[in-house]
Amino acid sequence: MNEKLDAANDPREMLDLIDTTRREAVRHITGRYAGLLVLWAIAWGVGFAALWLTRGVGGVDLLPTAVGWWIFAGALVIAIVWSAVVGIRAGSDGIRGRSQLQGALYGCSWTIVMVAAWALISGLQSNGLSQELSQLLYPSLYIFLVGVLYLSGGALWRAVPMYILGGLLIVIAVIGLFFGAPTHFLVYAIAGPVAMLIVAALMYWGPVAPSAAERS
Amino acid sequence: MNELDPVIHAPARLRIMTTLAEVLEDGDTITFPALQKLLGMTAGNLTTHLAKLSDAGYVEVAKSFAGRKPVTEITLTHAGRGAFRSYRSQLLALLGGSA
Repeated sequence: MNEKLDAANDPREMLDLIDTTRREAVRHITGRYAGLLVLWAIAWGVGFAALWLTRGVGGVDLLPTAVGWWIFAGALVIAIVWSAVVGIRAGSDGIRGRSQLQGALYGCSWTIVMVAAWALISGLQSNGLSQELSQLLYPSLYIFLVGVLYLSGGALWRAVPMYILGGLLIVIAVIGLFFGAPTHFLVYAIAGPVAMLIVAALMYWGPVAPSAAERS
Repeated sequence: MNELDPVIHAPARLRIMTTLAEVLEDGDTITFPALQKLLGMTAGNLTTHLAKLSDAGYVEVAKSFAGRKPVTEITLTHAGRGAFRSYRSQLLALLGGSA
């Protein structure tokens, strides 16, 4: 901060300075999550589009079955690994204390929920759930749960765009399910990335939520 | 209208207080390099202004060691959060009054 700025102390300028400073801080912290969301939008779009184009799985017979599944799995693995990298980097943000525990618990709940969902569907399969229904249930249950996790994350951090994304994903999961297999892959391939990109833009350029200091 | 708090009413310190109030929840601390990165200030400048804020009781600067490496952690005190809040309300009231 230079002397010229030190001399400026007009109330309007000081209030503007509060706003720009807050925006810079929020952008610094959430910018990487907006980037991550863009990566997820791409991975999700590519993955579900590949399934839609896969013989015996989707609606179009373009890709051999194994290739389609490999593209889907590859896209998701890249996105998951990159998410972990971003999460670890966030841990070195230098902020410790209550919110660090909050973030760690929230991170754990993703792992718990995702593993439990896989176990739940395995349980249903061992009780006679058909292959067709599994194909319908797997993606929609996962998208639904991601939506629920985003809802709770949005509530925890007062992050409205995150909360909106949670709601949108739940709606997309339900609507896709009603379209039935294999059209649900196409619905997810298009609607998911669109929702994620809109929310990423909101996170980066949208209004900054009121902070604790302003809610008095 | 009371006079604006001179400790906060300086752009560099206002930026420090705003950033701390934004990124720290009650009971959180931030390391010196992380805060410096957020603010884009020189270490010397940040140290000087943190000292003034610390003298006023608005922030606490704790120095410790992680192994042999010195670590400086900064936290916003309740008094600091309150002072920032009333400073902001005062600005709003001033502007509301003059508009």
